[in-house]
Amino acid sequence: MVRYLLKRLFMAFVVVVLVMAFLGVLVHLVPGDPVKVILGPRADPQLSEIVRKQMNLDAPVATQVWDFIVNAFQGNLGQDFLSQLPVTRLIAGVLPHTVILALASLGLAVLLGVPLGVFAATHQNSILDRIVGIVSVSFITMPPYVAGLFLLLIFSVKLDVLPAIGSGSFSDPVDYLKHLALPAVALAVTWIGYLARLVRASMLEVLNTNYVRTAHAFGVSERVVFYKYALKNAIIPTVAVLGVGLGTLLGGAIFIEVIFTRPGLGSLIFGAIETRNYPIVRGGVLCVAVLFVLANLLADLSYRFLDPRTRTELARA
Amino acid sequence: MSTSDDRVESLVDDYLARRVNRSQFLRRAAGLGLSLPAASAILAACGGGGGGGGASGTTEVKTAGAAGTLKVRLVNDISILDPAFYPSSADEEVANSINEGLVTYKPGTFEVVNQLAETFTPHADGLAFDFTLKKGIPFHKNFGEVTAEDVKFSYERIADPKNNAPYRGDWSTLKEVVVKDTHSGTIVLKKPFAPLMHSTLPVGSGWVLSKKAVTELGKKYATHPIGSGPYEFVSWTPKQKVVLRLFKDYGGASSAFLGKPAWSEIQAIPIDADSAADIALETGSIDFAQISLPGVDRFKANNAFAVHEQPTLDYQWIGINMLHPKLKDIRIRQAIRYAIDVPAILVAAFDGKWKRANAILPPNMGTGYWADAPVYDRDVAKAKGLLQQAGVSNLSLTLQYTEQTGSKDLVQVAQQNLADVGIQVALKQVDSASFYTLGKGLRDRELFFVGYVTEPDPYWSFIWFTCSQFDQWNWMYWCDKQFDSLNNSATGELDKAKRSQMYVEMQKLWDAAAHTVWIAYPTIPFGAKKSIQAAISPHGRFYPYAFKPTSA
Repeated sequence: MVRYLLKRLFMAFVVVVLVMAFLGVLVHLVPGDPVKVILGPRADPQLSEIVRKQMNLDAPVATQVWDFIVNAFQGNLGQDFLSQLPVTRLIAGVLPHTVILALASLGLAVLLGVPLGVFAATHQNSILDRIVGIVSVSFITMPPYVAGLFLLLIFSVKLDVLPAIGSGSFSDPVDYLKHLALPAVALAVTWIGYLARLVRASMLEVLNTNYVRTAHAFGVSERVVFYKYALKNAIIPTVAVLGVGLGTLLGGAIFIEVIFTRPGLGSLIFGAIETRNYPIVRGGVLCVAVLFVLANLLADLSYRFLDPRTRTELARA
Repeated sequence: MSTSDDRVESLVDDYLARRVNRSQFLRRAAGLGLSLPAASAILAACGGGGGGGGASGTTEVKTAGAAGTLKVRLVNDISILDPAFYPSSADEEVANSINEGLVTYKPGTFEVVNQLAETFTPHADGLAFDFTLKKGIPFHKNFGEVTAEDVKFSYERIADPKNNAPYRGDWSTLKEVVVKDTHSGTIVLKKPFAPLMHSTLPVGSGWVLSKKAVTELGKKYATHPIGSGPYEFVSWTPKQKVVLRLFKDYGGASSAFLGKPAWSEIQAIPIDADSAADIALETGSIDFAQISLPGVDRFKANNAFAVHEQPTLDYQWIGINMLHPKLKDIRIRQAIRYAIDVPAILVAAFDGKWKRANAILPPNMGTGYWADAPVYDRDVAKAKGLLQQAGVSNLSLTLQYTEQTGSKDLVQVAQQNLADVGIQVALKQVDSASFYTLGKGLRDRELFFVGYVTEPDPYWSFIWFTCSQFDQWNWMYWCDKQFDSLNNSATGELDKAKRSQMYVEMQKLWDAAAHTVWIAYPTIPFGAKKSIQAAISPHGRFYPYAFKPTSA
């Protein structure tokens, strides 16, 4: 297991390095001039050239990429071109909000999606199964920003029960949760539908296996068969998907953060792309990549924890 | 760092402004170390101690307007609050509550009034300006009194080429600031500079910074500004808010026109999307915002809000690159001008809410407005005739644009208009950072739709279209030596009437070259709670420090 873990960590490290190199090159391939943005409408050629040199933007791309990688491993992601604040500080300021939003959405998706899937599977072909199916597919096809706008209009504008913008303050947890509710639900909607369909399909497959049939034959109660034996195996593919899901949620968070004017990594990167603020783009995307890799690593490890067969295969290997 | 007292005070403000309810107040008060009886006593004093869960909505809104926190929207986050370097209007709209200049625009007008200056006397030749400072005006955070040495430092700092300040053009003719004594001095110019009293001294480039603070804080100053204004900088949480607090030792440099500052705290909240700002205002999360064009009618119909539509000095146009081989013939450019239906564009793209432009300067610029500028109504027959004369058929062009209010609708109307006269137009949307990238790549552009923002002086409208601006901002690639010469003369002309005439002549030259289809002078719609009276300049900038609660 330790060897496997080391191997996976090494792979994760390689992925992160490749992402850094790719990012370093990519931001320079996109047209646009950060100097123009920094200097604003008063940019003139001489001043632009001076500022470009000051920002080291006249150095070869390879040098800039190398500097970025070396500095990143030392914990230095550079400085915001505009405010001159360290990128690590800017990211640290918004990262908790994004992580909390993504985890809350994922939690909601699991809390609602899994029971819905189990319910649909255990009531296969009933009218309720069909209703759950329609609702799930509707949720899957609804982009988070559409759900967000609907929720905003209903709960903030019409009913005035939840705040429309911002994230609240950590010093007031209740207020923070109020600010979190709508964005988290909006971001979770797609995944609730997706997990419901996935769990249903997975459950139906497991319910047709021999060991479930045997359990039934032994007179084990339906409840125990469904929730103790069947669900435990049916949930395994879901866990694997959740790792990818976290990455998707981090990406989808951009729209939600913009709609709800919520601070976060997505809106930070989005704004930085618009202004060609390379250090923030590189640092922010690197952060997302690391989170994504870690989430997948965690999902992979939990997958092996949940499924004894994979542990046996590993031992044989 | 704020003290415990400050935090309690802030909490009380939040309660009065209805941002926290009674139970939240008690919970947060406990977190600040207040006992329940003490917190309850404060609540009672605030009128919320009764057992009803807080005061009535009406009372709370009135109180919020009277002494609470003002929350305003910024269209983007701040990044640099140093007036020598700030890159956007959002930075300026925060910094104008922190800083003061010798003179300023009286909020909401273009009337120049004394601020830090007790007396301000321009010499007749326009080469010098004597000033005497008001005495005993302190900078924030104990950085001492405002002195003539601070004036010298602030202005020469922007002018000094070594500092690479983007705004150095504002002080390009500055020779020096002579300090006579602690409170008086003279600004000396190398040659007269007419924009000085319009777009240098009354705005950011004219603010007086603390020499001591800038020197001591270094780069940190950009995000920890020290001024002498009615509000001092407290904190900036990127992507969340900027907090300013009433400066308790405020020296009162603006008191003559401002009276007493009305708010204990100002929060500036960056909200990128107009639609999100509409919702934030509607739900009471903010008190004042630039709202979306489609939201204007909705807010007008709502009695709780006041809408202010402020025409700006900015200008938008469809430009024609004269350098491009397809567009060198003036008849083709004239045909394009006749083909495009500007009134239809104003309706389709801007809900008919923006004023049509017929030249570069709008009437509210004051100087240089060309009242008799020709209005080119759509004339398809004339356009086709001009194309025929030019011997052109099957002309295909590309119209580049970037995302901005109404741009997608605008280019589609133009595309259809031009198709009607036989010009096929491909639309190409470019992201803003690429669109404004300067360089020789601009020469490949054929048609483009763009808007420039400007300052309250014609100089900053015309400067971008001289011959030296090729590959920079002169995207029409129009070079007219007479235009350049007039521009130079107008810059140093102190007689307003003569200067105006020069700018009108320049606009006539511009019109004759037929490289521009004027579209609009943008109007910025602002929405505010009825309980607030906003202060908005005639060029669309707002001054939070001068906002007042209404008597309602």
